Amino acid sequence: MTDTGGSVDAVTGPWGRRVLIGVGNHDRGDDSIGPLIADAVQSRTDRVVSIDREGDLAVLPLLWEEGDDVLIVDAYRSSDAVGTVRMIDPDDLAAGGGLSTHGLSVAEAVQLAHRLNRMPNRLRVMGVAGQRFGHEAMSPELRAVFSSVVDAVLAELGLEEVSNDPASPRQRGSH
Amino acid sequence: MTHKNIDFRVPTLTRVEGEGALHLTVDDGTISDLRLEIYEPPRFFEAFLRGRTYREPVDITARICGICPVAYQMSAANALERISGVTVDGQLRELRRLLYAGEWIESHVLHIGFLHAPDFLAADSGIELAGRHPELIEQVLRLKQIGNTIMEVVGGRPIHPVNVRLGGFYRAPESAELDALVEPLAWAHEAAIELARWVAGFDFPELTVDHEFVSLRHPTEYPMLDGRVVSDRGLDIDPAEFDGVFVEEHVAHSTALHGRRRDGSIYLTGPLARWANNQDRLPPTVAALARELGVSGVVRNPFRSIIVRSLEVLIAVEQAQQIIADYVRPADPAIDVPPAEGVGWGASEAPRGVLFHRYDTDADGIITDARIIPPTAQNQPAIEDDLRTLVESFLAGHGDLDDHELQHRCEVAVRNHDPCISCAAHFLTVKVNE
Repeated sequence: MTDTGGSVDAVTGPWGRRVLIGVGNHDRGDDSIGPLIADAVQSRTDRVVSIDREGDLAVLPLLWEEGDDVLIVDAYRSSDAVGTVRMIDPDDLAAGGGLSTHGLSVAEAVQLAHRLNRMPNRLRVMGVAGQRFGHEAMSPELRAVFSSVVDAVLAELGLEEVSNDPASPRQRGSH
Repeated sequence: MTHKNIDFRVPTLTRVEGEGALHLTVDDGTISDLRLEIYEPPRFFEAFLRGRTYREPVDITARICGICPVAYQMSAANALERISGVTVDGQLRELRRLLYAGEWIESHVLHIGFLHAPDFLAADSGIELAGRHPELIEQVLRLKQIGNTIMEVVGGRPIHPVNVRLGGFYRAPESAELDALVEPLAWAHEAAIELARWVAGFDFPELTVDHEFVSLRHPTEYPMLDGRVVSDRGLDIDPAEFDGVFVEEHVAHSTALHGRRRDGSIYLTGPLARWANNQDRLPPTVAALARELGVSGVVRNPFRSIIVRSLEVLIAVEQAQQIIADYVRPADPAIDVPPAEGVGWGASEAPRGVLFHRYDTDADGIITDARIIPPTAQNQPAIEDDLRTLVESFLAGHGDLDDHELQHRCEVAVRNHDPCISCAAHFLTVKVNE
């Protein structure tokens, strides 16, 4: 699902057009955080092009343009506390990527974008620590911090004011 | 004859879906061990389909594979609708063909650009290839994106579609949603032609195989959604006659059952088989391009399957264009499929070959038994036979390869068939004692 955002002026920030790509699988527990974050941000502001990207990431380099300011949000698995938010250098991510088969990982998709000369103006990756990745619901711990992760994403996009906007759906109690 | 010794083991095959290994041992110029070992654990889908209702397999079996879920949905629907005596036709059938075309496009171009083309261009991966041929790989990605979009518009999402149900769909797309695909598909048509010309220019190793080519055949269409089971050696049966002609055998080195004819002979499903059995079903554009590229008629060199696969992308694109051009939104997104007692077989053409489903249901529509026979399981003996032919040719002095190059050539011979090991490894028979 892709939201083209609002007008060109509205979605353009100092680094270019703001593009948020939530990566993950709706049916895989905490791996759903990326798509759900993209959906949540889309419901709260038209100042971002929000993309809920489920499944194969091979086409990731086609989802942005050269002048874009891209933020990818994806779940990660580690010993970090659930809900920990880390900004990950895309090149570090690329170095650590493992090859899959019928689909590419975020790391590989970034490598691919480099090879295709399709890197955006700025690319950042936000990892959100999860613990459940099976066919199950999102963990209660991650659910509990979901709103704060949305706020962190808005802050990274330079849209802190949306968090505090009384007209935003969350502020109206409808996350 | 070379009196040499070879012993290599590729513990994890790359650029195939799933977990498999390759073993080759040659003692004094004679092959003593050659195995495509599939060690991915079985996932027992057939076992846990039992006891579920007849409406569930189209969703449950779609989860077997992320690259060919539509094949599972369609083969399941074909089998279960047959038990109920329901035929889905008209625009609902056309929507199913459109959805399936999306899957063929995305699956085939991924294999062509990222899994197979690197083999012919001395690249380790599609990513490396992107650095050398960025325009072409970007074209592959755009084609894939169009396949994904078709899946999303008709199936509800680009992987594991959720809009398919027995009798049709939960929702039929509006005409405007399909009209939005017209322009991208016009671009895809040209891109598919360019892709086919590109891969046809590769340097292909020599290999001629003599497998019986088994595929579906439809009265008027290039086979995809349904049809009779035919071969280039005269076979012509209904899918329900599978057990009278074919067997599935357990072998020690594979968690996937091997498929054979009952007389023990080997057969092959997939693009080469479809191509061989359906030359008279090719759209004129595709037939003309095939002549230009030198693959008109039967192709018995599996290395050249990449050309056939790219021509099948063009077939799928044209099919999608035609369906959208003629689309009239159906009044109802599905027809009723009542529960019924019986046994039903269904088959459809997954991108990598014929996928059979069989279900037994009781009068309430509860599934009492299920069998799923995926193409990769059926193709394992043919793949091993390709490897044997390849190595024997090498040992006979044909080809100038060192051992490392031979190993690579063998790996490519496996990838020729785009095996989906994850699909194949689901199907150990589980006997439940009650």
